[in-house]
Formats: sequence, structure tokens, C-alpha cells
Amino acid sequence: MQILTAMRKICSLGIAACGMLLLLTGLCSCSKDRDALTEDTAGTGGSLARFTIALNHLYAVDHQLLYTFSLADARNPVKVFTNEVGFDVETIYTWKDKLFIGSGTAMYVYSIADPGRPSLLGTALHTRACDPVVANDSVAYVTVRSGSNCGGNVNALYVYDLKDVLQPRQANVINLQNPYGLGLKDSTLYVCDAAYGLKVFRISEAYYPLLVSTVTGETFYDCIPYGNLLICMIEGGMALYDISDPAHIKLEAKIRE
Amino acid sequence: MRSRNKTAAYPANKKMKAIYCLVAATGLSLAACTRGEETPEKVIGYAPIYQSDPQVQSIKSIGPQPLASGGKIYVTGQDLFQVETGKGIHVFDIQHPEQPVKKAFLQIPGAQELSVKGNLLYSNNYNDLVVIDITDVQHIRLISRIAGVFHLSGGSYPPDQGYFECIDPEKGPVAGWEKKMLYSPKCRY
Repeated sequence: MQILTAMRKICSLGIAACGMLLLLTGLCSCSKDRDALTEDTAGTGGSLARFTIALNHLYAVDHQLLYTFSLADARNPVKVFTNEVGFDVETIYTWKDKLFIGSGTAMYVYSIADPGRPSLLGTALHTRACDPVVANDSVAYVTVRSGSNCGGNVNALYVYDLKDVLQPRQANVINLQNPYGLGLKDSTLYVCDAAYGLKVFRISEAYYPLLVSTVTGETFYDCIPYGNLLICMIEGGMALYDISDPAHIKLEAKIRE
Repeated sequence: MRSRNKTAAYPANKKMKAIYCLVAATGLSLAACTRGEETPEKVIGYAPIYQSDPQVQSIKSIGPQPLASGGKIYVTGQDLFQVETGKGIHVFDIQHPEQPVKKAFLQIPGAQELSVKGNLLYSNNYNDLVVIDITDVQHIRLISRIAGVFHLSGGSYPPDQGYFECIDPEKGPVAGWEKKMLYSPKCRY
């Protein structure tokens, strides 16, 4: 009897283990370049984008307004809402149920908990500058850049504590030379500092980015971390890097023609 | 309002023209008449593209084109896109990232932005939102359009300072601006 019970227990465990394995392999997309199993998911843009798709809506910013389009009928989008954001609005980025909008004078955080009706949560003002944003639950990273279209004379990475999202708090400032877009993946922040290179920061301590390497030889404007690949917008084209080891990133290909 | 007088400036008219232009300039904008001063015969500057131009809404896939400006980037699945600002979108296959393959060029006049969901690409054709089926990137189809929804492009002034070809109000709204060789342009920003 005891042997039978033991065998039953082993069988149950075995079946449970099989079940787990099946579940895991079913969920795991495995290919390094695919985020999901369905064809109807949205892709990924860079931090310089004015368009983004999230929660079955297309969000777009021009120089002043945020437009919300419902993609319930994806082939025939319908504009469902317009927000007046500010002036010199440049970029838009989404993270979960929030939109982060960069402008020449501020970073705006909007809630899209109601996806058809974005509502302003918080604003972080800064000196006049162009600014793309990337963010996650608790931190936002913003580059500010001086120059003829942007005005001002600051070139830096601003780090914002978003724990109180209604009042983003500037937690750190790191000087840069001529920064443009950024990419965020796990505990690495990639910052495009134009001709001064692609700067790779470790952000295990989110408010204290630590520069671990710089890739030079190109002028970097934006980058998208995509699985183990970093896709960069460079002067005249694109460069693709293997970022399996972020401290030692390796060039895969350059596209200039 | 800008002076459209194409004749040489005679001394008697020069003063009137100058006053007229000063009033127009201070009244509305920074753009100014060239005030009858010597305008260059040939100079690179911006010229308006009118919404009524038949080329403006010509959206189609053509063969791979050389990269020129290296614009904004977007990725989905194994497809990588790069905007050729103002002209369209390059499409690459990056199934093998060490060897990207250029597949097509989507001609979308005025394009600056894009997003993709499934087989649908959303972009701007100047100030119109356009939805394009990219199931076959060599044979794309325009599915729908929302005209004039954005203010990304066009307007009363060119993107940069310098000489520009004056807007002809009889040609209707301006969709965008293109940089080209101008011959004795009458306007300056």
C-alpha cells in the first residue's frame, strides 16, 4: 500500500512538472525578436517619436496637441480625444498606463488608465531644451539639449523620481555634450550623445546612472533596445548592435545606403 | 501680405514698398518682403508644396531607395523601418541582424512618423493620418485617411530662416515645404 501511495505521489509530481513545462514553453516566445505570439501587436518606436500605439489606441503629438485615435476598427481609426499639452511639444513615450510627453519646456506625464481620454498627472518643468523621455514605474530619464531649434544652453541627462507621479522630482543631473534620444532596457540606459558617442549607463540604482562604456565612431541620434539587439539611428542611416552583454556591446551591421 | 511687384524697384516706389513691408512684417510675422533690395538670382531655400498638387497624395511602394537623411526608426517582428523625412519609409528585413536586407521604399509624401500594428502601418501624409496595409510591402494599399488632423507640416512659414518662395494664396493650402533651388525669391524669413 505504501509503495502504491508513494508511486501515486511521484506520478502526480511528474504530471505537475509536465504541466508546468508545457505551460512555460507555451508562454515563452523564445525568438529574440518577437515580443508576442499574435500578429496584431504593435511594434516599437524610438524616443524621438511623435506617434505611439498602446492599449489599442494611437497617440500622436504635433507641436501643441495630443491626439487620441481609437483602433477598435484598426483599419479606420477614429479621433476620440484631443488634449492641449503645451508648446514646442516634441516626443511621446508610453509605459503601461502612462504617456510621457517631452517638450521644449517640460516633461508631461499623462494617465491613459482610460485609454480614450488621457488626463494630465504631473509636469516637470525645466530650462528650455529639446527633450525625449523614457520611463518605467518609478523613474523617468530625459535628455535636454541646447541648439538653434531648442534654445537654452544645457546639455544633460535629467533623472526624475516618479514615486509621486503628480510631482515628478528631479533626482539627478548628468552632464552630456549634445544628447538626443535614449533607450531603456532592464538595468541599462542607452543615451545617444550625437558625435560624442552612444553612452551606456548601468541603472541598477535607478537614480544614479553609472557610465560603463561609450561607443564612438558614429553620430548617434536614437536607439531602440529590441531583445538582444540595439537598433540605432545614426547620421545617414542605422547601426545594429548585439547587447546580450550591455557592458561589451558588439556591432552587428551598419546600414548607410 | 507681401509685395508681389516683380519689376525693379524705382526710387519713388522703393520707400512705399519698404513702409508697406515693415507694416506687414511687424503686424503678423517675422517673414518680410525683400524690400526691392537685390535678391539673389539663385539660392537654395524653401518652396511651398500645395495640397492641390497631385503628387501630394501619391502613396505607393517602389523599389529600394538609397538612404539619404537617416530619419526616425521603428521595429516590429523582423521588419525594421527608417523614415526618409518628408518622402517616405525604408523597409528592411532583419531576420539576420548581421545582414539587413532592404526590401522596399514606401513613398509617403511628407512622412515624418510611423507606427505599426499587425499588418497596418500608420503614418502622416503631411497633415493627414493615413492607414496603409503592408501585408505585402511591395504592393501596399492605402486603407483610410483622416485629412488635416495634424499640424505637423505646412503652415505660413518655412521650417528654417532664409529666402523662400512666397505663398500663392490662389493655389490653396500649403501641405508642406521642400528645399530647392530658388530663382529670385521674393520672400524671406
